[in-house]
Amino acid sequence: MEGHTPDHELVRQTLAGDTHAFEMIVERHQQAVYRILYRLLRNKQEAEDIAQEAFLRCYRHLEKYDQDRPFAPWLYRIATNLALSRLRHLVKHQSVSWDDYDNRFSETEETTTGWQVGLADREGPSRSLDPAAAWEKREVRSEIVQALRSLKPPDQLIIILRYFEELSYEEIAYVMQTRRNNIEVRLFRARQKLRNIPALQQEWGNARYHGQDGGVTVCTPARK
Amino acid sequence: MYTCKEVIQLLDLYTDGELDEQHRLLVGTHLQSCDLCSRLVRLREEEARMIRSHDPVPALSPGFTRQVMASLSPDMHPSTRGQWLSSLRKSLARPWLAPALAGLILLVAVSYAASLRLITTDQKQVAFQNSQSGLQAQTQLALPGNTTPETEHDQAFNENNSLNKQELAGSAASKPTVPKPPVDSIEADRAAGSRNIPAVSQTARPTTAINPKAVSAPDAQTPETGGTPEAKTPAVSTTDAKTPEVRMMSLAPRQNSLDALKQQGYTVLQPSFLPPGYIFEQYSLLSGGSDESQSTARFTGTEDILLSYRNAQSGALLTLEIQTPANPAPPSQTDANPNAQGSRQTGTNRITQSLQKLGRNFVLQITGTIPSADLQKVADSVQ
Repeated sequence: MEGHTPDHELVRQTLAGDTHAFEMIVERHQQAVYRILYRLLRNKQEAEDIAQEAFLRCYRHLEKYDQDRPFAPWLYRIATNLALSRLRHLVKHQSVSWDDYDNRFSETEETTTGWQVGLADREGPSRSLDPAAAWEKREVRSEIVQALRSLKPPDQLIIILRYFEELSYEEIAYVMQTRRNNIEVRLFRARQKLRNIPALQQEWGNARYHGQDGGVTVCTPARK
Repeated sequence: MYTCKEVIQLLDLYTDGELDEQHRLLVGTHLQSCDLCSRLVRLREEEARMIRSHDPVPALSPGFTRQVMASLSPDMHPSTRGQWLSSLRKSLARPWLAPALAGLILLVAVSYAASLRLITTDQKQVAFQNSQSGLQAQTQLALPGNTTPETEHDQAFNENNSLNKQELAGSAASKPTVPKPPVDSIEADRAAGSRNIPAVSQTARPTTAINPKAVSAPDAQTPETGGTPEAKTPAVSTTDAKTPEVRMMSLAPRQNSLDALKQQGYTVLQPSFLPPGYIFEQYSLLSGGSDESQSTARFTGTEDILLSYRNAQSGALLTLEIQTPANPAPPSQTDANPNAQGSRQTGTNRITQSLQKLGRNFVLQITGTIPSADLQKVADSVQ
């Protein structure tokens, strides 16, 4: 029953003084907020702290929420603003470059071994791979994570919101307070960087030279 | 129909679901007939799945919701804040409020500015009273009965009076720290039994500058040697002059003020030459002309006249102190026998020169920030 209550209705009830409605909002969106923050910050404790602060700010400023818009992007905007500010603070006060911040602000590999993979359902049968396949999967994972970390945080955020939270360009633009065209361009560039990693390049290599004439650009549509 | 190249350029938008209906149909039509492009679409989807599946996130700590709810305090409730903000917005939305607030702010600003000017005037008056308490002279505002803030002219006049004293003290290079108000009480001076000083009417300063020639005595003429001041030999030199006691400083920046002084029997000597830009500003009556610290060409009278000229553009001051005889005599023409010598101080030049008229000796002391040669010209032109 609670799951069917729309966000804007819960917001209305919260504004009317019903804290239980806000508790439902937290329950509903905490995982997504936390996932976004963790992938930006790469630190569980930091992600949880900022997620909590994001919900508190959301509560304090709930009257500013435009109920004609989706609630989640508005909440993500609050959370990601806090996270990006935190990263800027780290870059500024720890003499870490914007590109290298992830090396000093990330958990070790050991701390990630006990992950309760939140995306287990998406991984599907891959969890039952044999040891060699598991090692290969871990290598690919490391490559992808490193490739994500190599992006600037705003570009990372675009990838995160697009691939992991599956937001539309318009929603991403709203979260990042920019225009849709800007998101489109930045997403294109970020994808180009990601596709340079070997794990994805291999797949692309197969595709690129799969055409009859050795390249996709000369691919011609099948005859009618 | 799209070519493969066109479709490949749109593949990301297609797989992201960001194409509009028309383009989506065109790409879809191409994909139905192109195996390679269809495979590219599948690879894009596989790419997305790989990215998603290879960046897992550790689970959120249990009790997160409880922590958030425990951090909420009653004063954070958005409804309370919202009501307050909405009431504020409503009150600010009144159409008459903005002009009213603007008017109020303007009124406060004007009042504040006016009070600052009044305070400044009061401070000057108090400072003058403090400095002149030994003279038992009551001070009053420059314009009797006028309680409005000083005009710009009055402020400049105050500064001028201070400058006069500074100049006489031989420290003209330094700015006066406490300007004196341009006031004096003639009645108080009369009651003290001092010299009968002519009451000078307080009128507004004329808008046109006073030409020294215009206010000079009718019988004033250019001295014969006035055109060649360099030919004169300075003979009298002075050390730093001690500041004469300012007995009365009369407001006299008026056209007929010197005439009124002459009517009282004073011999008023004025220069026929002034450096460009200098105009007559005021005169002051000084006592103690027989100060023993004066030079050998000391005047033995009781009243001196200090004429002030100011450059309207630069604000520079030129003072001409004329030590007059004790017993006023009708002005007449005599040959001037000037003996002058310039003494340079820091930024200020002074020339003391004796002058003989009507068988009496006058001492001219000219101080200004202009070159000594110009001072000499002014001194030579005094008649």
